[in-house]
Amino acid sequence: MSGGLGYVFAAARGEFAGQPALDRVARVMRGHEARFLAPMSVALVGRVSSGKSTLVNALLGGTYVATGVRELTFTVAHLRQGEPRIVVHFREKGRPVETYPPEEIDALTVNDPAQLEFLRSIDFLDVYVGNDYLRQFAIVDTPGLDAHLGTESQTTLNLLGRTGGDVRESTVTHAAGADAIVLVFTRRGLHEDDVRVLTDFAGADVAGLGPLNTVGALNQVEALWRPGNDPMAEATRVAGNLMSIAEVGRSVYEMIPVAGLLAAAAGTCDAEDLARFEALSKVDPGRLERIVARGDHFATRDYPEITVPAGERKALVDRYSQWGVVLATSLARDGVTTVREMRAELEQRSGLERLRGVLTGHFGNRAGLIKTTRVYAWADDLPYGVRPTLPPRAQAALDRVTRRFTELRLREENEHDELKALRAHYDGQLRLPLGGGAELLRVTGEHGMDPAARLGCAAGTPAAEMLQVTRERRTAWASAAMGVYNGATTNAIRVIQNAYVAVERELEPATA
Amino acid sequence: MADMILVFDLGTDTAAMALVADGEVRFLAEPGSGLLSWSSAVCLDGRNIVVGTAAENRRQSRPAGYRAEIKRDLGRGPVRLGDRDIDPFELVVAVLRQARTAAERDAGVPVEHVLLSVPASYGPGDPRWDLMIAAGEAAGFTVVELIAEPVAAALAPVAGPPFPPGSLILVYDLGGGTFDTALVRVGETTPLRVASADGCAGRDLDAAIFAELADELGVSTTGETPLDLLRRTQLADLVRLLKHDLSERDETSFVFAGTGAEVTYDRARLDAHALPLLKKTLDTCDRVLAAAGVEPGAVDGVLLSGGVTRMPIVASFVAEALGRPLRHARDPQYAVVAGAAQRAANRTGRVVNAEPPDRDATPMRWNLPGGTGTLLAWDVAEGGGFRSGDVLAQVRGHDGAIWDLAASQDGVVVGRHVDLGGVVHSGDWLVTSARKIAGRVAGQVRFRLLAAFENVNALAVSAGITPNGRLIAVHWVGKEIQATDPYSGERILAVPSGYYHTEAALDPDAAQLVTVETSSDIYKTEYHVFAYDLTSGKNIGSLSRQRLKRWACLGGDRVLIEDDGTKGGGPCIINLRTSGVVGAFGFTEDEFHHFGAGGRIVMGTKNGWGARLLTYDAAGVPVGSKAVGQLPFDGRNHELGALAATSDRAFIVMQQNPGMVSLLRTPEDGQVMGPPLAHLGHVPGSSNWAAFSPDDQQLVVAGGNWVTHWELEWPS
Repeated sequence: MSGGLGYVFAAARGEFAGQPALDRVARVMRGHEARFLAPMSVALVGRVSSGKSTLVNALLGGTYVATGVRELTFTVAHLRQGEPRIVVHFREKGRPVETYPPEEIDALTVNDPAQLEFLRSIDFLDVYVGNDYLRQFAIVDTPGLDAHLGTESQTTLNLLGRTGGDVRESTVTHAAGADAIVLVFTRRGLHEDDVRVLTDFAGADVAGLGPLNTVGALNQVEALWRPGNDPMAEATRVAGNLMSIAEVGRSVYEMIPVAGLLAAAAGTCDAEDLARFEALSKVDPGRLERIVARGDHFATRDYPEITVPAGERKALVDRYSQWGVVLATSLARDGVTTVREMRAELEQRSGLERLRGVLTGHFGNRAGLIKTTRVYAWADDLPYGVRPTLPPRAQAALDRVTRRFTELRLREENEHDELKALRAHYDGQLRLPLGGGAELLRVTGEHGMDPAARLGCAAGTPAAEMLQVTRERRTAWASAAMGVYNGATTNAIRVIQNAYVAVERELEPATA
Repeated sequence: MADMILVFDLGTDTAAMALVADGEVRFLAEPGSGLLSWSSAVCLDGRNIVVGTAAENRRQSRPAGYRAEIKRDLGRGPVRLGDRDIDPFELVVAVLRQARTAAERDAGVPVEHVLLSVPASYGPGDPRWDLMIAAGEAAGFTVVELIAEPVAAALAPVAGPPFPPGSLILVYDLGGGTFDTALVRVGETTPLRVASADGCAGRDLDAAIFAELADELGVSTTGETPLDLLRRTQLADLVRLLKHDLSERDETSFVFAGTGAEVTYDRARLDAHALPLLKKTLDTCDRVLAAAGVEPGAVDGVLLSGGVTRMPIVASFVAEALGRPLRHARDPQYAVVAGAAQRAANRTGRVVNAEPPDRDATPMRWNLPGGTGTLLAWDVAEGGGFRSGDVLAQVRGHDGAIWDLAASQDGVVVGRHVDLGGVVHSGDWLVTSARKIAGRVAGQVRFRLLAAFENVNALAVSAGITPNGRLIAVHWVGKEIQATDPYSGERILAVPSGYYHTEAALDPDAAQLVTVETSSDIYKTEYHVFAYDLTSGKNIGSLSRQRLKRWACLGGDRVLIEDDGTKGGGPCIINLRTSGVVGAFGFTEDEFHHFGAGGRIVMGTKNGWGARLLTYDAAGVPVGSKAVGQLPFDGRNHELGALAATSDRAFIVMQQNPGMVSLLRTPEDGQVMGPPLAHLGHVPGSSNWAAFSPDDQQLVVAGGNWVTHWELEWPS
C-alpha cells in the first residue's frame, strides 16, 4: 500500500517540477511525503517517577543512554535513527535549528549564565542515535506530567523560565502528533495526575486517545516482587482494575504490565552476566530468594555458598532488580545457556515483547493507514483550495495529480472504511447484531489475517469447511443488514460483509 | 423533433429522474413501483441484475445478492453479488439503462441525451467523472453531461423568491444516508468548497427513535426468530410514519401492529434526538465556511434540500445558528433532480463568446504540401524569440517527409496551439507570435547518443562524468541513495536514508555526493545536508538548516545554499567540513527556482523566469553574479528540464514535451533566448538533471527511470 502512495508522490513531484505556480503545493507535499515515509512515531507519556526513561531504554534494546542532565528533563526529545547528533529546536520563531555533538549538550548546566541562556532558548531536541529499533519506530520522549514537582525540579524549572503548564502543553502537543502513544502508569495504580493526562488529551486538537493509537504500560512491576510471589500475576490484576476505570478503558487498547528495569537490562545481558546467574543457580532457590529479598545483605555480605563477589551482585541487582536476579537465576537453572535465549526470555517475561508487539503490530499496521488518511485529506482539498488560483496549465497538471491520489484512495477505500468502523466500535457508536463488535474485530484481522483466525475456526480446519462458514456468515450479515441502523453501524455491517467476501476470495482457489 | 433530455440523480440512498422536453420538466416515476424516488440498490436475480424497488423486493429471498448504495462502490474493486464478482461500474450502467428504457417508454421517442448529477466530493480531476460519463454512454446515451449535486440544488425552485444569479449560498443537504454541504455561487458550475459528515443523517435519527421505541414496546433488537424480525420490520415502518406525521403536527399517535399497543410521540421527543445530529451538521457548515475563508455574514442565503429538512426543527435550528435567510427547495427530496432539470431546460446560459482580437498578436499559418501533417517537434518554446527564416516547428507531411515550418519575420512566440503528435492542416493557426528583437545563435551542436540506461525500480536523480570519463548515476531507491557506474553496474556508494532522503546531487566532477535529508513533522521541517566522498565512501561533513530552498553541490566539500537564514538569506557557499561560510554572493532580492552547476558557474532561475549566473573561484570563494536574459518560460509553460554549465557557459536542457529534449544557450542580459542549438531527440523519461563532463565533450541527462549519455561536437 505504501508503495502505491510512494509512487503517486513521485509522479506528483514530476508533475510539479518546474512549475512555479505549483511550488507552494509541492513544498507542502514534501512535508506530507516525509511524514508518510518516516517510521511510525511512538510517544511515551506519564508522570515524572513512572520510569519512562527506563522504558525508552528497554524499547531500544537497552542501548540508548538518556541524557542524564537534569536541565533537559523538561524538554521533549525525539529519538531518531541516524548519525549520532543532537539537533536543537528553539522556542524563538524562525530561529534556525542547530546541530551539536551529543556530549556538548550533555555538558550543559544551569550554573553557567551563558549556558543557562542557551538552555532557556531550547524548545525541543531531535536526538539521533544509531539504533536498529529506531528504524521501526521513532520515539518521542516527553517530560513528566506531574502537577506538583519536588523542590529540586521546581528550582530547575524556575531557572529555565518555564512553568509546569508549559511543560504539559509541550508534552501534549508533541505526543498528539505521534502515531502511537504509550501511557505509562506505575504499579501504585491511578494517580490523579494520570487522570489529568487522559483529560488533557481530550482537549488537544487530535482524535484524542483511543484504542487505535494508545496503549497503557503498567510499569515498575519488579517492585511488586516478594519471595515466593509472581509479580506479573499481581500486576495483571492491577492492570485489570485500571482498565475497569471508565476513563482508562475508553482510552487505551490494552494495559500491559512491564518490568521496565528488567526489560532494559535484558537488552544488555552479556556472557559475564550469564555466568554469574549460572553461578547463583547453584544456590538453593528458596535460600537465594530470601537473601535477595534482604536487599543490602545480598549486595554487601559474603556467603559461603555464593561464589559471585558482593560488588558484582550489587551491580546485578541495580540493573536487573531483585526479581530480575531471581528470575534470571531460575532460568539459568532451568537450562537457559545462551545469551540470546536469556535475552529473549527476559524480554518476554518482563512484558517488553508484548509491548513491542502491540506497537509494531496492532498500531504499526494501522499507523500507515492513519497516515494515508492525512495525506488524502490534504489531496482531496487541492481541487477546491489551490486549484481556482492557478493558471490553466497548472490546473491541468494539478488535476492529473488529484486523479492519481483519488484513484489510489478509492482502491484503499475498503481499508479506510474498516478503520472508521473500528473507531466507531471503540467509541461505542455501533449497535451491531449477530456476533457484534467481537465479530467485527475478528473478521477484520484483530487475531490474525489468515482465514481461520478471521473466521474463528480452529487452525487446520479444511478450506472447504471454512468457505462454507464464510458464505453462511456473509448471508447472515446480508440478512441482518435489513434492520434500522445508524450510519456508523450501516458502514460497519458493510465492512463485515466486504471482509467476508475477501476471506471467500482467499479460500476459493484452495477449494477449486 | 425536440431534444429530449433525461435528468437522473443517482443519490447515495435513493434515485430520482425527470424528463425535459421543449423547456418543460416532468418528473418520472420508477417503472413497476410508480414511485418518484426509489432505492439506489441492485440485486442479482439468476443471471440478471435488477435495480431499485425490484431489488428491494428480492432482498428477503436473496440477501447475499443484494447491494445498497451502489454509488459508494464506484471506482473501487469488484463487489460480490451472490457468487459473482461484478464491477460497480456495471451496476451503475444497469441502473442507467433501466432509466433510459423508462424515459423512452414515456417519451415515445429515443432519449439520447442525459444529464447526470454527481456528488460534489467528485472534484475536478476525480476519476469518477469519467466513469459516470462512460456509464452513461454504455447505457446507450450519445450525449452525457454532468452537474455537481449542490450546483444543481442551488438551481432548484424554492419556496419564496429565488436566489438571484451570483448569490453566494450555502447548500445544506440533509438526506437519509448522508449530510453534504457546499458553498455555491448561483450560476457557476463548480462549488467553492464542499464537505460532508457521517453520523448525522436521516438514518441516524431513525436508529435513535427505533432504539427508544423498541425498548418501550419490548421489541428485541437482537433476536433472530421470525417473530423478532417481523416486529422489527413493523417498528421500522412505524418510525417512518411517525417522523413524517410529526413534520405536520406537534403530536401523533399510532397503533403498533406487532402488539396492538398505542404509541404516542411528540415533537419534543423527536427534536431531542435530532438536536445532537443538527449540531454536527452545523460544525460541518462552519468548517466549509472557514476553509473557504468566508464569514457567515457574507453568505447571501442557505438552501435547504434533502428529505430530512422537512422536519420543522431543521429550519429553525439552522436559521438561528447561521443567522442567514433560508429558502426551502420546493420539493427538498428532489431538489437535485429539479435543479438539474432547470439547467437542462435552459441551456442558453452556457455560451462562451470569442475574445476580441489582440492587436499585438500575429497568427502564424503555413500551407503544407498535401494539406495535412503531424506535428513532430516545436523548436521554439513559448516566450522564445526567433528571426525570419528560423525553424519554429517540424511536421511530418502527408507524404511521409519531414518539413520545417519557418518564420517569415522576426518575433517571439506568445502561444503554441497544437500538442506534439497532433494533426495540423494547411491554414491552421498554429502559433501566435509578437514582434521582438531576438539574439541570433550561430552554429549548431551535434549530439550522438552513447547509451541509455533504464532502472525501473529507481528514480534517477543525478548523474555526472568524472575527469577520467567515468559515468556515475545517482538513483533514489526506496530508502537508499545509490551511486553506480551504469556501464559496469558497479555500486560505488549506497547511503542508507536514516530518516528520509529527498534530494541528492553530484558535483561537476562527480567526485562528491551531497544528499539533503528532510525531517518533517507537524511542528517543523528541517533539512540535513550530508556530503560524501565517492572515492572513500566516507561522510565528509554535514549541516542542518530549518530553511533550505535551493542548493547545488560544488565539489571540494562545498555546497551553494540559498536562504541560510543567518547571513541575510541570499545564496552563499558553505564548507561542509567546517560548516563555515566561505562567502556570500551579497544579494538577497532573488528567489531561485533551480540551480544548475558546472565548471565554476552556477546558474539560478528565479521568479519571472529571469536567471543569474553565479561564479566562484577554485577556492570556492564567490567571484560575482550577473543577470542573464529572460528565459523562455512563463507561468503557463513549464517545460524547463534542467540547468547545466560547461566550463565557461551556461546551458539549459529543455524538455519540450514528453520525450523531446533540446539544448539551449542562456541569453545575454536584456535579450530573449535564441532557438535551440540542438535537439537531443526523444529521450526517455523526464529530464530533471543534466551535467556536462569536465572537458565539455559529453553530456548526461537523468530523470524518471532513465539516464542517457551523449557525446557532443561543438561548432568550431
